[in-house]
Amino acid sequence: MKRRLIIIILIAIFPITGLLASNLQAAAQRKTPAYGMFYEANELFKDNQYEQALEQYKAILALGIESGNLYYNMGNTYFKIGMLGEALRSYEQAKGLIPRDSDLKANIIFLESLREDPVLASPQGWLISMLEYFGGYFSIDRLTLIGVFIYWLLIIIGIGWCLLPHYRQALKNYIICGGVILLFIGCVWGIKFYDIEFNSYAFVVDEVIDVKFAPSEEATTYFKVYEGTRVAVIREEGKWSRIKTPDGKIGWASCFALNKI
Amino acid sequence: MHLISRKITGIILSVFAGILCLNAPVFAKNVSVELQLDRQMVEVGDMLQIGLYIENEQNVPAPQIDNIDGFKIQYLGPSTKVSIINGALTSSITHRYRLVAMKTGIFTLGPFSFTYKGNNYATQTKDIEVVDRGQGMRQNDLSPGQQPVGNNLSGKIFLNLVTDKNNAYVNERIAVTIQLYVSRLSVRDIQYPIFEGQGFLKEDFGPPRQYKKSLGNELYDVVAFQTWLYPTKSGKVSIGPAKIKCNIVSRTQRSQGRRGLESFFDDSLFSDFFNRLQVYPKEVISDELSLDVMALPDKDRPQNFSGAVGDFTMKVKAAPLKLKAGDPITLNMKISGAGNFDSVQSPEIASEEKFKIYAAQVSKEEAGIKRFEQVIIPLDKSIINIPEIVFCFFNPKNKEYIMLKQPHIAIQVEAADEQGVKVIEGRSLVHGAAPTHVLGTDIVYIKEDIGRIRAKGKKIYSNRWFLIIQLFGFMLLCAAFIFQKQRERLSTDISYARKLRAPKVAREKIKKAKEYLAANKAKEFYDALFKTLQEYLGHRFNRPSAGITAEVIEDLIKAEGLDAEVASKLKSCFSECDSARYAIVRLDNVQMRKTMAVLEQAIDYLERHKL
Repeated sequence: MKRRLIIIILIAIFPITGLLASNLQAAAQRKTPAYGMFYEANELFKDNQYEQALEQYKAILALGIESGNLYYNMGNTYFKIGMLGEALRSYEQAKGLIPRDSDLKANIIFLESLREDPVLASPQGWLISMLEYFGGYFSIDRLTLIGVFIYWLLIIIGIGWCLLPHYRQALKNYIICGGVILLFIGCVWGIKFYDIEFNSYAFVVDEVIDVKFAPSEEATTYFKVYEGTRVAVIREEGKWSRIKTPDGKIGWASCFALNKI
Repeated sequence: MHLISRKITGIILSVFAGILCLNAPVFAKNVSVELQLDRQMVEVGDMLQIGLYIENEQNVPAPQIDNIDGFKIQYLGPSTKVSIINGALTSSITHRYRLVAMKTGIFTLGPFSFTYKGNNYATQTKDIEVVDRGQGMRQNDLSPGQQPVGNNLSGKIFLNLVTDKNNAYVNERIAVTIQLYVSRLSVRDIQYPIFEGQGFLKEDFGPPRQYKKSLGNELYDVVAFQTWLYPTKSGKVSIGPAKIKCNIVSRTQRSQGRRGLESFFDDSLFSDFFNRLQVYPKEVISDELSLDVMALPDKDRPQNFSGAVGDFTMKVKAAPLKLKAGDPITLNMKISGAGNFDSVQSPEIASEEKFKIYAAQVSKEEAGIKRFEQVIIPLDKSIINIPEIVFCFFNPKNKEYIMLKQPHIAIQVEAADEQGVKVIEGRSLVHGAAPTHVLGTDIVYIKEDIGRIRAKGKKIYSNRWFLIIQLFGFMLLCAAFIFQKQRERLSTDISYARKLRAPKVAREKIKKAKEYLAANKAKEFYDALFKTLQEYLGHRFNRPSAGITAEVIEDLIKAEGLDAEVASKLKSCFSECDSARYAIVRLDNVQMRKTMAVLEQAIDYLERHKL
């Protein structure tokens, strides 16, 4: 019995050490030059040198790293320059990393209020809406870690269930509860994963663009989309993108007027 | 069991003996006889019941009553009764008869006489009046189209309208009670009463009260409804008549024309059975009442009297008592007591100087209590108390105006933060909410810290090692599951456990045998070899090892469908072992090696072939 318990405890320690290693890696990252560059960019922003600050922020991205705060500051800088679409795009990228940041939420709401023609999203089923709501509360990495944590808990309880037959009845309820939670997290994660990996989004960065029935300048304009609108890019054909607006309208827009996330 | 039944028998006998003892005085008492009637007047064709009540004797047979003039008679049966009052036991029997009135007139019933145990007994006489049909009942007792059911409803059901006072002041609360009296009738579906009248306001009726009340010799079931009236003008005010609608349930016999088979059942039991229930709607109407309503006196009427009549008390609370000039104070004023609360208005603040005063609101109203909430704002820091609060009402009991006063409430007012006091009028202030400020809008400032950084576009789930670790977890779980299943099988399936153990045992024994071979110890070698064969084959075929011999082995190998050559090899091994162990022949080292090789081949063959 004692030996089996030791095995189970060792297995429990295994994923925890993995997470600790991940934190140590993050600590190591803090020594990168990005910190100094970020500080310099902020100083430029404070001196109202927004163009230079933006260049500095972009230089950090060029190092191959990213952070939620970096995208947030870029969004602020774009807004100060007067590029509403780009600002919203940066905020959207920040949202993927720091979705619960209150400053970010406030800025997105403020910028949305400045848009010329806000497009309302089509209503979705309650299940999808609920899963998306929870998905929007966590970044994909955080959601993955939560899922993995529950998964390892289940593994440990499952091993306990196998090796400690006397405790099976007691462990059964934990397995059922853990299984339901893991299933729920799995669904949320799946939707988010699909959105990230298989959907492509872009923001309208021109003041207003004509969305046409066909990928041609001569084609009839179907509707107009204003700066800052987030559209799904379905397909690309030359300099044209087939886009879908949040209210479900589909048409062709010039690639140059869009900036993909 | 036997003991218990004896005990029970003892108890029963004791109780029976006790009853006999209690009954003993009865026999000694005088027997009295009485004639009972259920009414004094009937209509022609109606039935009535009479009873011969015999006290202190229960065994008297039914006296034979011959024809009575003007009536048909039928014996219904006896009913007995035993009662113990203050320790005195009485018993009685009542023989019941049904009479059907055949003609009009006043008839004398009795005396009815009978002889019992050599004694003669006789009842008293009673008169009964038989009237024509329709004369015995008020015409408004039944609705049009309904036939009387043979029972006179007069006195059995009536409605009474009463008030708690005959004269009152305008706005004074008057209790009105409507009582429905019912006796010896089955009444159902009683509706709430209605009553008309002008010059008063009335409240809704509360839930009815039921009780019993004796009037004269009759015991009534009473259903009482109560409400309150408030006269609105002076002078004579008439109330009612009150009306109540209900249904009367009556038992009636089938018509005479349908007697046929029914005559066959013409006795008390069957006639009761064939009687049927009929429901008649009925509207019971009370008498009208009048009330003298007086106007409120002008003399000594206070200026701030707002019309409240009754008997009230007042309580006032204020909060906060320490505040800055311009901040609101909420006054909670509670008026409680008895009277017309509709006419109760908010108490008044005696002085409005240096205060901004808002209209009072009714915050809560319940039975006997009315609460008001009022916001006042001190405008100056020099204010040290809330002015006197006054509530006036007229008390009809004492016939005078009463003025309730809440003395000054001390408060502490500090100077306002800003220059002067600016009272912002509006709904929100009344409710104590902060004034609305127009807020500027802009983006929230940049972040000073870069936060948690990561390789651009890298997700945890795309890390190969991360995925491998997760897979490892699943493999661990599978391994644990397989391990446990194997353990369970080993502990339950002995054949399987022995089969698994066989090669291990064989390896150990062969190792030992090889040591003897190296040392050229033939006897020990063949001993070890023999044990190896026995134990290996015993485990392999799940047989007792001691029972494995050269004779058995051939059968076992054949039964499992294995190669016969193996069987012969194993058999020869056994033979050599036996020869060497019992020193029949002396075998050299070469032969020992050959035997060892044969054994190893046979075991190898058996391990490769599943049984």
